[in-house]
Amino acid sequence: MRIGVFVCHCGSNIAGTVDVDRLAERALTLKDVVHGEDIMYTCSEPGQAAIQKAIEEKKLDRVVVAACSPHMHEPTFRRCVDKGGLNPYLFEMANIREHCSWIHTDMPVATDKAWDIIKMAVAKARRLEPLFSNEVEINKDVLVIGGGVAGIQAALDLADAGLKVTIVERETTIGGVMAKLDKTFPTIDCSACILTPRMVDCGQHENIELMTYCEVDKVSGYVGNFTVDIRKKASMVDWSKCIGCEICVQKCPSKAPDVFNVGLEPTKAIYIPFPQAVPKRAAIQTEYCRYFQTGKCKVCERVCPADAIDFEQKDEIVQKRFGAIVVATGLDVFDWETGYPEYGGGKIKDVISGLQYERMLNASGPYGGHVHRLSNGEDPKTVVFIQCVGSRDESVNRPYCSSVCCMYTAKQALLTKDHCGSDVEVYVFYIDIRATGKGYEEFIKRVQTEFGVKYVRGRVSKLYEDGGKVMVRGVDTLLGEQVEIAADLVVLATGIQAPEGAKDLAQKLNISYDEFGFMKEGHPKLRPVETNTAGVFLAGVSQGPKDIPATVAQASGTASKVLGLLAKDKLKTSPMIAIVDQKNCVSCWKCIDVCPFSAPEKQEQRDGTFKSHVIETVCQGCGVCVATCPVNTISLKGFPTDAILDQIEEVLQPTPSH
Amino acid sequence: MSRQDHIREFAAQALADGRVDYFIGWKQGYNSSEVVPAFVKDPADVDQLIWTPLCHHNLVTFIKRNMPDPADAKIGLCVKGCDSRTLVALLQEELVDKEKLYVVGVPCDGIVDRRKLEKEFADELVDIAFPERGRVVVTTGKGETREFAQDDVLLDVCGRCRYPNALYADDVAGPLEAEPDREESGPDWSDIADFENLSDDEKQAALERVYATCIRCFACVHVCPVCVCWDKCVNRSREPELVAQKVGAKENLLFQMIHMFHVAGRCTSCGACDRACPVEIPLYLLHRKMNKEIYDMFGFEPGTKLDEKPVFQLFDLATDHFGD
Ligand SMILES: Cc1cc2nc3c(=O)[nH]c(=O)nc-3n(C[C@H](O)[C@H](O)[C@H](O)COP(=O)(O)OP(=O)(O)OC[C@H]3O[C@@H](n4cnc5c(N)ncnc54)[C@H](O)[C@@H]3O)c2cc1C
Ligand code: SF4
Ligand code: SF4
Ligand code: SF4
Ligand code: SF4
Repeated sequence: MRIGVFVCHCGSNIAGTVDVDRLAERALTLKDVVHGEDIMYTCSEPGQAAIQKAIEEKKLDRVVVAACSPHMHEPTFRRCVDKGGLNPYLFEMANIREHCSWIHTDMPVATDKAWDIIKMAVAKARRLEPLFSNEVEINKDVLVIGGGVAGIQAALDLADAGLKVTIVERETTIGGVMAKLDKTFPTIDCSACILTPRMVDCGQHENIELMTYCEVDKVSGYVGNFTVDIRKKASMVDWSKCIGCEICVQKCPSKAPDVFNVGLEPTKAIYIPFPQAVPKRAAIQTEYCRYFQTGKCKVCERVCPADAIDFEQKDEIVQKRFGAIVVATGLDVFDWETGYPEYGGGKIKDVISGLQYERMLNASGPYGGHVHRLSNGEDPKTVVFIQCVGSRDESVNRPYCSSVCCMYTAKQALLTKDHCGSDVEVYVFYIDIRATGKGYEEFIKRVQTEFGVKYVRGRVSKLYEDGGKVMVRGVDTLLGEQVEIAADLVVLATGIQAPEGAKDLAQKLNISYDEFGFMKEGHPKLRPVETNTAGVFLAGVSQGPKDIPATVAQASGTASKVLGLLAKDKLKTSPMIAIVDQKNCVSCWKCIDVCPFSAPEKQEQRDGTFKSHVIETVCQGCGVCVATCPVNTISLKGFPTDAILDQIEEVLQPTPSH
Repeated sequence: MSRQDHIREFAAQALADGRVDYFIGWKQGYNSSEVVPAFVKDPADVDQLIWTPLCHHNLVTFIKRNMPDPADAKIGLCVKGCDSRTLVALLQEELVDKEKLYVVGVPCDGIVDRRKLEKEFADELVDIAFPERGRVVVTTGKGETREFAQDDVLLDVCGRCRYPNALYADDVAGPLEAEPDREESGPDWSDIADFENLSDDEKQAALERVYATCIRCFACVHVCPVCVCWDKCVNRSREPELVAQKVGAKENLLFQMIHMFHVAGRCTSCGACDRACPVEIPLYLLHRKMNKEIYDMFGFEPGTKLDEKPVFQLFDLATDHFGD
């Protein structure tokens, strides 16, 4: 065996704390090591060339690089040795940066530790065997979960490129939050005017299948070959017949909360969220329907011209296969009523959320765009906006910035002047103004100067009713004094939070999420739309708060990543996977229980008994089963048990200090 | 009707109906001071079956994976409260098939520790009688007779028992025993308090001392009802050789540590290993300590709820069992 050891300086990152030259020399004293070399930047072109040269000249059959984390550069060096003519899996990495130089300051101590790490890597390298990748066919259909603007954009891009796309949306229509907005910052163009054509395109695209009022029940499989159970929720209306005429809605006697209008005014038990809904189909909220609650009514059935009402409908599960999945599940608005009792906790009628205000402003909303006080219907003379409600506030566990509220508040302040006339007094309480997008700062300036909206820096401590007004008490931190404003209408710039069920969905997809339920990207800079599960991608607010321009840009970025993946006909699988030596398997099925990817299965043997077998293409090589198997009969290729024992033995040898 | 009569009746009925191929209970051993497991195939033989406070064997051991003969045999068996937890553990792991079992729960008021009695006498015991509940009358080969209060000579595990009645059974042999309020009082860990108070070095020394006398007979492993590896046990494997074949304190401890990890979150503290060990090693020490850690960390008590899975078999990328 001929092992080469390359010790990286990483500039002064490693060499500053670890005596790199000595280690390279000392490596030659290890059994089987025939080449030791220190390199300034091993990952650079000359660094890689040095490795390849040594492989050729010294006839190396194993390569050890002592440098940074394998997370960082293992793929780089595997490619490098591959090009140098060695099987890429005859390479081993010793992490002497993150695990050593970065966390120590004392050179002799750090050098001793680096030596231990290198010795262990060499011990492991001796046990490595060449491994070879397999190829699997991939399915080219894409599942997009969530039909907000993110999902819509990603689906259109993918469908235009020729891929078949299925959008699974849990509401009856696509559109998401953007469909509820009035105008959009900073251009004040009408939200519906730019969104609805896209919604229609989705509905009519030959490559897009809309599955609204559906949810993802179960996901199995792996990149290129996902199998997804989709639950079609019972709408009690046969959508193949419903023509969206809304006659049922007009005649239905039962009121129900209107989610689309954020609870401002009730809708009916049978409802269609808004006139431009895609698809435009009715559904019954059974918990409010008179027939479902009392057994009598069926008015809708009688009036429906298309004979579409079906009270017997049941949830249905449809199984589909996909090659890639895009998560675009967007946001929920922060539930301020429970979070902020000091703002009346929802009991003061003239205190509303930002999203409710969008519906109030909207000409096709429940009030035809009439801005008024909900308590008495009068036009407001003083309107107060409060920013950062449910954002940047540790006390309600929302320390993050929702990133859109400063801008949408400025927009709404402007629109208030526009709707109510320039003599309406408009105040905005803010902590900071975050207006980092293109044209955003200019927009804020215009709202302040041209439209005369008064910005007060400070938090509002209390809202209470007095003499028919909503009293707003706070501090102006710039002037350092208490302020109290008698307002007619108060709009809370409610923040963004992860939608209900986000964690649940993440678990089904085996992807991670942060402590607030936003999905985690593979790497914040280098893999911003990928997840750590191959084949699952993110778009829009599901990954973190952002506005529409950023959402759309990201969704297109996501689509291009999916296209990149599915441009190939076959996918290379990692050979570093678990394998069961069945002769020792005692069929305890612990491996099946623990595998997060459902890779092990019960395989029937010739004698009719069952033993565990790991499905090669499903296994992600996480090693959990290997650690769990009580008889040690599973091994992870690339991590032989004997190599691990050798490593332990090696590190237990005392290191003579130098 | 006594519990013993109930057992005999249930067994006779199940055998006669063909509900089971054989029935596992307890019978007298070589003399009336000893009880051994009984396998009854013929309804005519059910009179062998007995129930006394000497019936310590956890019969669930005989149905663990690969044990039934033939493999698809329908089996009847008796379980005490503690044994039923083992059964629940095996059911949780789908290692036994509910459909092939007929389970008779035997409410138990505590099992007598024969070893404790042996130590009271210089001679061999020939008879242990239970004239009435709570009384234990022991007679030796030399004719010496002494009486004990049952509570004074119970197995240590029985002193801490929280589950006197079976948690899973098809039929129950007579009225239930009084149950402690389990909501109010959690498990009793007093038996390992001394051990826990030791420093790390002292613990290491104590464990090495305790396991020093192990002869690697593997009785503890064989009798353990949740240990399932049989002849594939890694403790005996030479490839890889995790545990050296030489018998020494350190190697013995490693062997027991491996066993502890394999039954972590699965060991129901039945005490079968303790009772099986010919050199009387207190095997509970490690297992109980591990069980306590698991209870403190996950609130999990092995084998108590049918719809649970052992914590360590619940590995899930997304859930965080440790909370925030
Ligand atoms: C009050 C307010 C005003 C705003 N004003 C502006 C503005 O003027 N300009 C601007 O640029 N941005 C604005 N925004 C931000 C903008 O709304 C978002 O950037 C945008 O809606 C994000 O789109 P999305 O597709 O990621 O999420 P969403 O619009 O939330 O869409 C997500 C979709 O996924 C569906 N879904 C969720 N979970 C599931 C599931 N488990 N299964 C299936 N479907 C699911 C939802 O029903 C929804 O249809 C505003 C936001 C708010 C709250
Ligand atoms: S049955 Fe009656 S209450 Fe129910 S949706 Fe139809 S009309 Fe409305
Ligand atoms: S290594 Fe084991 S646990 Fe991990 S994915 Fe593969 S089979 Fe599953
Ligand atoms: S854990 Fe090991 S012994 Fe148990 S079924 Fe899986 S491979 Fe077989
Ligand atoms: S029963 Fe006792 S002696 Fe036998 S292997 Fe177990 S601990 Fe060792």
